Amino acid sequence: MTVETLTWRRTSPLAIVFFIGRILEHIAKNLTQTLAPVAAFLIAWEGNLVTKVAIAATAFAVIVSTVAFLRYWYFGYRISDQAIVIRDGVIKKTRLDLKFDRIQAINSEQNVIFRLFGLLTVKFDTAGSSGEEGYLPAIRTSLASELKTMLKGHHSEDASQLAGEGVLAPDDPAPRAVLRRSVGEIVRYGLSSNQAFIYLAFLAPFSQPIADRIEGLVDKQAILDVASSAAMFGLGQGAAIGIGLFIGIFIFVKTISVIGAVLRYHGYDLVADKRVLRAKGGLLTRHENSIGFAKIQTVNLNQGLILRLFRRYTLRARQAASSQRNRRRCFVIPIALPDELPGLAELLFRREFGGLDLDPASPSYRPISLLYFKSRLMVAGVIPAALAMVLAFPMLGWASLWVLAWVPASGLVFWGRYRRLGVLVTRDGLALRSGFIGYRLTAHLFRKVQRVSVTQSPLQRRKDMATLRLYLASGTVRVPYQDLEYARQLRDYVLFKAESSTQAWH
Amino acid sequence: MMAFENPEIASGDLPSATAPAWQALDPRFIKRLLLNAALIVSIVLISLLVVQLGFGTLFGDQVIPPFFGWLYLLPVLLAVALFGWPFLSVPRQGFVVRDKDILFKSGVLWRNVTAVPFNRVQHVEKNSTPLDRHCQLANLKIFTAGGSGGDLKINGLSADVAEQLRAFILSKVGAAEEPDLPE
Repeated sequence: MTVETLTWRRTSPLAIVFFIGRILEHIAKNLTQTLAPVAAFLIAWEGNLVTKVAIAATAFAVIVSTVAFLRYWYFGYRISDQAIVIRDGVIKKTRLDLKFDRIQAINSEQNVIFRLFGLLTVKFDTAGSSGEEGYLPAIRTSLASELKTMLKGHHSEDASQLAGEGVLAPDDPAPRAVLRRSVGEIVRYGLSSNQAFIYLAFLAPFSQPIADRIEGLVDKQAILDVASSAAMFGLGQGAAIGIGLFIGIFIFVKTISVIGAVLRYHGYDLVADKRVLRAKGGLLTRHENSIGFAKIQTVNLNQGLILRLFRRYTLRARQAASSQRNRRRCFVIPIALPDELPGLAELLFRREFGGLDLDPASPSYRPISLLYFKSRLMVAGVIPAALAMVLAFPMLGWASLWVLAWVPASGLVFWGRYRRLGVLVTRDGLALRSGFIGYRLTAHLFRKVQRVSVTQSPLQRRKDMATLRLYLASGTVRVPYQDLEYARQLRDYVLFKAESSTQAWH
Repeated sequence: MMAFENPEIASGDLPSATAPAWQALDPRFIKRLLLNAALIVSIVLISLLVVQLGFGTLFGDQVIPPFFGWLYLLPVLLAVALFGWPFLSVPRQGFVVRDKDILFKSGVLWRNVTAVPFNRVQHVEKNSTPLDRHCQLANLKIFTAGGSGGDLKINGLSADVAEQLRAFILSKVGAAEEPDLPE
């Protein structure tokens, strides 16, 4: 039976909740445009403020609910054994045809309401091949499991084909637990992450108008009084107030980050089978994400200042991305312990990356040429400082010598960056270490490289050095200041690995 | 174990010939860049003249600021840069087609060599502007996964070589060859 002969199916009416969430998300992203009429109404209509807010809130709720209902009403899907077809939209109608062999993974989300009714939302991961995102909101968990089984069936057809070619072992064992994270570990991740800034970014469009409004409401004389009394306290107290404010903001931001991390990753559970890595977690909304091992292009390891204190790492597996938006999407292992790194390296690269050491402090990382530090210091430190001093000298006289303080300051930064830079080249892949206070590590297999370039700046030409760039479907890895001959040899070796590989790169 | 081979192939005898190291771009590419430069310099010069004569006629010469004459240095400087640059940049560009990949070198101050394996090519695009067609030239863009634009752009190929290269790369990629669209 072809998909066209099937009747359109409708999801549960609770999908309205999902659509309300989508509309609110859209409003948050386009805040100024969507809320402009409401703001205009509030300002233009004379009357009691409470009445105005009540009418605006009611109108807003009615409009959002109506639009959500219409979106639910016009949303439909068909499932055949080959494809899923989704129709969506009230005025602008879209139809999305998702063939099972194009779907990389099925991810799911289950909020508190859906959990009560045994429903969930599935999202079809087709990253790298389409900008469209397919989803089915509020479907029965049994249907989601059925879809996953169907996808698995399609993938195992591919796998059996690969097994026939000797690429994969034919057996497909049951999923095994890889790691589980306690609340304490998730709190550590929250403390280290900057998730709060994401939430604050949503509030940012509100904050300026609110601040303007408050400024207008508060008596200006009162502000002057406060300012003059603050001036009386002197500089010492001023600095104390500044530090206190900074600490207060820091604690506030970190609290939001920790809450965000617990909401997203509570009960984090990572399981793996032969083909797929799957993560489950979330306090109110349960998320289930997965990534096929074959789809992984690069693995990033991050260790910022706070994670260094905790001796923990965050890992991200990136797959092919067709746009900048997709490039930010990745599979996150929020927190990993040092002794788990060797196992995770083996798992993520399916034992294909022999000799990979994910410990960024490992001595196996080869430092790059000291010329990197010297050139950076000259270009961004000495030359701009000297120019600024010459320009400022007629106005400031000898005081312009202070500009030269930029040289040691920038020197410290570039020295820190130089000390972190290191490269590990094995038979199968490359890992690049970078960072300033913390560490960032990017590892990939040579056979996944899309193109390679060797570039020489005028200074590098004089010193017979070059910068090697390895372009992957998930981003670029730049290996600076290598001996020219070595860079060329490495380029040719990478080309050899990419060109002679019989395995698919994605 | 089978040895890995990747011999060079000349553009004039695709797909099987062996080649010298770097194939130069078509010499007509310099003429095309000079025509482009002449066009840009003319537009800037005409714009300045239109502004000066137009404003002078409409509002009198006193509305033209005294420094306006210095603006005529702009097309002069532009002409020096744009007419000189092709003689530096074009001889430093070149490509090598090998059995399994294509290499392209470019750059005057920053020298760059990019290599794209054929088994990573997503699609190939051939295009030509009216100026290119006037000089019987065409440009080739080779796309790989994850790139935001053409990952390897070779401008200034003769139209025949560009078509040969496109067909050769597509045959290597395994894509069905499309009929050439009328230009």
